[in-house]
Amino acid sequence: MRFQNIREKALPERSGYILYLVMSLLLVWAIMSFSLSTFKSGSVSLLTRTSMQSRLTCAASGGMNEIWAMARQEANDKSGKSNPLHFYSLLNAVFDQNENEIPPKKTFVSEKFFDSNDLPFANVMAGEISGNDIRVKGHCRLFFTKLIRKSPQSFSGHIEVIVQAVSKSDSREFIEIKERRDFKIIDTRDLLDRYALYVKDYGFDYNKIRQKLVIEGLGPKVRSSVYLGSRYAPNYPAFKNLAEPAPIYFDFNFKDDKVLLSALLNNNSAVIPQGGQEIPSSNPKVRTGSSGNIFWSIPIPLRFKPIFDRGSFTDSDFYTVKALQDGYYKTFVETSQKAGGEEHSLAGLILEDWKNCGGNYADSQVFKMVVTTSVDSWGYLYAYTDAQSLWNGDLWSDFAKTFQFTGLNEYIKFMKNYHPDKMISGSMPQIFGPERNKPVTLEGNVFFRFFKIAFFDEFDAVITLAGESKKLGMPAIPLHFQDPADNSSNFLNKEVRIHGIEKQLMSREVDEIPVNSLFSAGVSSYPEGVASPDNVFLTLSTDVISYKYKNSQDFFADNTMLLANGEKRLKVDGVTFIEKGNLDLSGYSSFSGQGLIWIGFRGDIYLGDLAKSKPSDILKLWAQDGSFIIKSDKPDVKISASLLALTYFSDPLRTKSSLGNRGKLIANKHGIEITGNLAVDYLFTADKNYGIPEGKKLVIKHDPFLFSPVYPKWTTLGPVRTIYSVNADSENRFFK
Amino acid sequence: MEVGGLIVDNSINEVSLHELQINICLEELNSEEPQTRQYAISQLQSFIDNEIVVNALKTRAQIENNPECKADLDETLKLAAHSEITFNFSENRIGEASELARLWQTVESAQLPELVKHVKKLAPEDQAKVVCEVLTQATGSAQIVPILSLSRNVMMRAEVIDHLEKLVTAESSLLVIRVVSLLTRLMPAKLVAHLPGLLLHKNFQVRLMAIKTLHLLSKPEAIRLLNELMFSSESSNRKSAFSFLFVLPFNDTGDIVLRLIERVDLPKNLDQVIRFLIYNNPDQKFFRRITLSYLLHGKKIAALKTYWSLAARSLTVSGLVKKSEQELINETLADTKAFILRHTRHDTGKQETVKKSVASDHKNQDLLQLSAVSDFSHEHIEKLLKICENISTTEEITSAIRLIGKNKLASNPFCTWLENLLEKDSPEVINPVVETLLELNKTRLLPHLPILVFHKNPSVAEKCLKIFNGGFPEKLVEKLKLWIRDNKAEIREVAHKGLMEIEFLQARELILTFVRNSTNLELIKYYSSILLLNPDRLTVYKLNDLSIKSSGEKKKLLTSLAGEIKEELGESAKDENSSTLNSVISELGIKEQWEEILGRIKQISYDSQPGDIRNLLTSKAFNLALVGFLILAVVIFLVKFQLGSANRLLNNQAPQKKAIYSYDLGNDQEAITDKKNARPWDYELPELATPPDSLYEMLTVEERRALHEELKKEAGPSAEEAPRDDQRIRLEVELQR
Repeated sequence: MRFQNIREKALPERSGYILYLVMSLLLVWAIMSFSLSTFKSGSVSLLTRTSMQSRLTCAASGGMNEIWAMARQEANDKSGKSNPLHFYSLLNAVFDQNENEIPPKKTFVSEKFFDSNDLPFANVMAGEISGNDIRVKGHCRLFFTKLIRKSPQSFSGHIEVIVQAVSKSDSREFIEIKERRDFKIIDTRDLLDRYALYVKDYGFDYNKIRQKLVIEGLGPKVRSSVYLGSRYAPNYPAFKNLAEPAPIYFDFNFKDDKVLLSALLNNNSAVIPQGGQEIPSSNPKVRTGSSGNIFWSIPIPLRFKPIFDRGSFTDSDFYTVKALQDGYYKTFVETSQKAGGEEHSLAGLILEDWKNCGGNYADSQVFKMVVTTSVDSWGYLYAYTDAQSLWNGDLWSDFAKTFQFTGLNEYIKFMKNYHPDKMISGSMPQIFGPERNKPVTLEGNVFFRFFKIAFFDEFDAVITLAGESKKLGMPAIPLHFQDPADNSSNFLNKEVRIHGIEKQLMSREVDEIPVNSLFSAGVSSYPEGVASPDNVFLTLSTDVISYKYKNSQDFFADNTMLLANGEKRLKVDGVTFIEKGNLDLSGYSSFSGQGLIWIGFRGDIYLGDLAKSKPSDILKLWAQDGSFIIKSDKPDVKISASLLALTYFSDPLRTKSSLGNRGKLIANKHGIEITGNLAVDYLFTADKNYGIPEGKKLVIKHDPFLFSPVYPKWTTLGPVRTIYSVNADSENRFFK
Repeated sequence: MEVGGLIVDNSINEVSLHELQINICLEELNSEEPQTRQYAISQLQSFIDNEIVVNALKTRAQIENNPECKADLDETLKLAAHSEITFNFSENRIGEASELARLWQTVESAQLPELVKHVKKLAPEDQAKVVCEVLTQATGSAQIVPILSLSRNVMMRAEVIDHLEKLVTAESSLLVIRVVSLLTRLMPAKLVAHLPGLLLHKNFQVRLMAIKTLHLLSKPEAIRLLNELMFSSESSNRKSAFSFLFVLPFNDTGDIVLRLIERVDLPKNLDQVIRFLIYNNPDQKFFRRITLSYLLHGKKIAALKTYWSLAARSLTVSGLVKKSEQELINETLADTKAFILRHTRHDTGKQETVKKSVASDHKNQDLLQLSAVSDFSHEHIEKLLKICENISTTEEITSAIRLIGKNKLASNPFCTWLENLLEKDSPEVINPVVETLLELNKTRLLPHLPILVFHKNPSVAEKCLKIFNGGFPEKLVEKLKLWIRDNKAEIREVAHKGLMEIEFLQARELILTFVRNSTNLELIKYYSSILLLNPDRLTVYKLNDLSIKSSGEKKKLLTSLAGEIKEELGESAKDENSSTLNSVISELGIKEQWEEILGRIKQISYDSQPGDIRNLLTSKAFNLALVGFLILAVVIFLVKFQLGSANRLLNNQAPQKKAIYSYDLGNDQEAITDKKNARPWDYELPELATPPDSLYEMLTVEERRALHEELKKEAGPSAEEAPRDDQRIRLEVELQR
């Protein structure tokens, strides 16, 4: 269509141009005739013939060029879809054929005839150089000879063009040129196109607050995928003996991600029952202190007795609970000592009992009685909060320091060895978009992390001891998190159905809800349909490569367009293979076309701002043994491309797990926005020297044109003539 | 000198001028240049009585293939063919003019000379009638030429002159030459109107004839044109040099004679002609100038000496000088030397005489032994080479150089040794080295010459300059072009010497080019002495021309320089032949017309100056034409390419350009789509479709490895080479581990 537009527009405007061309040709002709005037007639007639032949050849070449121009112009032009003789249709016809009609079973051929009317430029030129005595017509055949990818189908073949220039006055005056060029029609799509982000290795920076990762998926209707793998996960005790890939935790931040809260509570994996906004403690200070620091609370206190009964606890389970012991000592023993317990008085009895047990609570009758009373009277309270509300860096928040909420005060200490990443209080990446309204399918072992704080509420009880009733105020008891590395079991970590998703009494981290359960069924450790996510690369073969270059210099020499404003634009056309070496695209402001640039061996790709010339353009960049490095004067760069740094090498001396040997996106102190997608071995955002600066983001906008390309089948015409022949024998012409 | 003079005398007395001319023409008849041949044919026309000439012409006619020469030959031979056939006169009409005129048309051209005899018998009026009739009706030059030999009083008649004038524009060059020559003798004023045309005639003989005519009317212009014609770049002109010498009187062609002499290798015939001319034209001014030339170039051109003494002899023999030959020579030599000295004050080089080193003034026995060897063997060569490396005294070195020279040892080590010696200061060493290198391997000497000419020892410098000019004249000229512009005293001194050394014509060209482009009056003055020492009319014309184009002090300087040279040439400012002119043009009262024509003649120049193109470029007419052409081109362009549509195109392009960047996906640029050009699917969001399941078919690990190995084989092992350590990016995480 574009070609036609140009043609329609250009014809009247170019007419003067042709006149000039013709005038100069005539001038040359005049000079020739003048110089020929001194030649003998024999030479002149010989030269006349030669000049006629030259004109015929010139006209035929013109026709040839016109057909190739048309082929190039139309090959990837959807406007020819409805015209069966348009090159787009001729090339794409192969995909509609029965498998018995196409390679490898049979060479598929489509053809097209070009009459004089179909070659207007060549015929106008031929007419002008010959006094309207030459006619140019042509014919082309497309041979699909090889199936280069079975599914989805891709083919290679050649186009053979024959052009004839014939004198109208004498049909024996004739030149026929035959030319052949190779073509490839390949499926440009790949598995990775449906991923907005594909990360193979375990990542440490997902929860970074000041270097945020933002993913904008395609939308609620069609979901983009994100895969976060756990290859080369660190050797934490927490990851020992795991059957699944090492889990990745996203710190749910109820203030930032409040949009997601309802989805979280109603997730498809473990629904959390209706809750309240503050903890219903009998102590009003606790109630108000919890408000705003928790995102869910048990709406009313739970009576502990039924839990106790369900959980086949025994009273002795509680004898060792330090808080209980301390409460007892303070309330009973100390008070009695002050009262100076007379014999048979209550205080005297308590002191005696204390004396008899010798400091061993389990032997104290009074303590046992108090425990029994407490079990009957305790109200069990718990609520959910997030890491940011509890601590920041090394400092616990005031909320976390409130006695009732101190159940987690040993969490960081425990995690230091067990799972150091968990010591950091962070905030999850915006994988559902900045507005959290673009759900994605999140693949990988990714879970939320938030925290449960639990305690027994304080209560007043009347104890009858030796016939004497005594009213006592029992303090609240925070239920402490237990060392996950310590396998010893007590009532705090003993499993018992409590309420909602809770099965233990203690305060704890909630880390069992998969992030993917918010909008999808639940955890999906591996990419859909992929058994080994680490072996995912682009599915390519040498057959699909259209252009091969030794290095990037050669590539640039062939594929650089200089725009009027002095900027450089990159031309892409099908699969380009560059053997090795760095590819510095930072000097290019845009690209046009559709294709993949594949650096086969060692080589990084440098990028600055890179835009498309039109939305449907697609550029995929694959560094097979290198990284993407941002190089720009600007603080933020915008890149419209699919960036793939998935390392594959075969050198046995190199360690694959070494960070230097893994494909990365190195932000180099820039904020980055990618329109396309990103697939890397190792993803990081925070690094003093090479990361994203504080306050800036890595934004990945999944490109819909990448997901559903306008031209899933892209045709590349070879620049090299594989056959060229000239025939002047009018008897044996290809067609009359 | 005496002996040389005698020989010259004898050789001149042996032949007459006619014979000389015939000899030269016969020689030139076989020249390769058609123009030269044509000239020779036209000259030989005057000698068709001579049998040798006729035979030569006939022989030539058989092999001639140039159509013009062939035609001339045929016509000339027609004139030469005599026949004794009697004429069939009508009864009683032998004496009638009309009958003779009728017969003239009918008989063959070979019989015409016979018929002329009959014509001559008629009364002058009738003769004139016949002439007029013949000239009116003649169809070819062969019919006309015989009638031109009638007596002067017949031809001087007004009606005949009128008819002759018409013939000046005839097709045949031979005829034109004859007519112009005739008219010059009879009534040059009739030619005035035709002169500009004739001076630019395609045939150069016609041009020469026209110059001859012009000489009667304006001597300075004629001399100028003759000089220019002689020294213009057309080589064929120079080949028939002798023709120039007879066009004008000797005192006006003295320059040409001198320039011819200064050109080495004169053909023998020309040499004879020049001797003839010098001997028969005693001229004191010429003698003074040839003396000057002798002093300047005598060492180079041996023939100069003979000419010079011949000129002296002719003066004493003719009695123009009342001194003995020896006295004259001595006197003039002294005068001229003083003159040269006056103009070369600045390069009064201390002419230190180089002490000739005594040949075997050393005690090196090895060398002495080798000197005695007559036939050098390989061992001798090696021995000498060894000796060369160890000797240091001047005597030994010179002795070694002599040995090398004597035995022609041109191998590389010897040449290198010799070249190294050039760095020494002593002239006793350098002079023999230069001579030996010149003899053994000229090209190895060349790079040293431009340095050696500045040698602090004047004898070395001078010698090297001479060698430079002798061996590599073109390279020297190249160097001089650079040196001439230099302000440094020593460089310009060498440049001056160099200019004196090379051929004067070349030197003049260099100096005049320099004068044209330079504004440094001091330097111009410095080099002007060379022009003064070689006084030449052409120099005067060129200087005058330059002075017209310059202004201020430079103009004054050039005018005075031209004046000085003119004075040297012995010419006064006044027009010498004004009396002749007056008499000629007053005959027809065409003074005003002459003034105008003279103006036109002054514009004519045969000199192809190098600055011509530049002059053309700077000329007003050319620039106007150029501007006109450009305007025309622009108008055609605007009309053809429709300015309106160009604007439209620009307007169209603006949004299109924006559209190209429209999907830049940035905040700063809005997505503006050029609906007209944009294809909807390029800009509208695609309908998102779940990709086919087949996309999940990935390469197996084995397939991937095979692909990688295939590519690796092609890329070579270097493809996986690690980058340098300092180029590797190490993250914090990596460093902490």
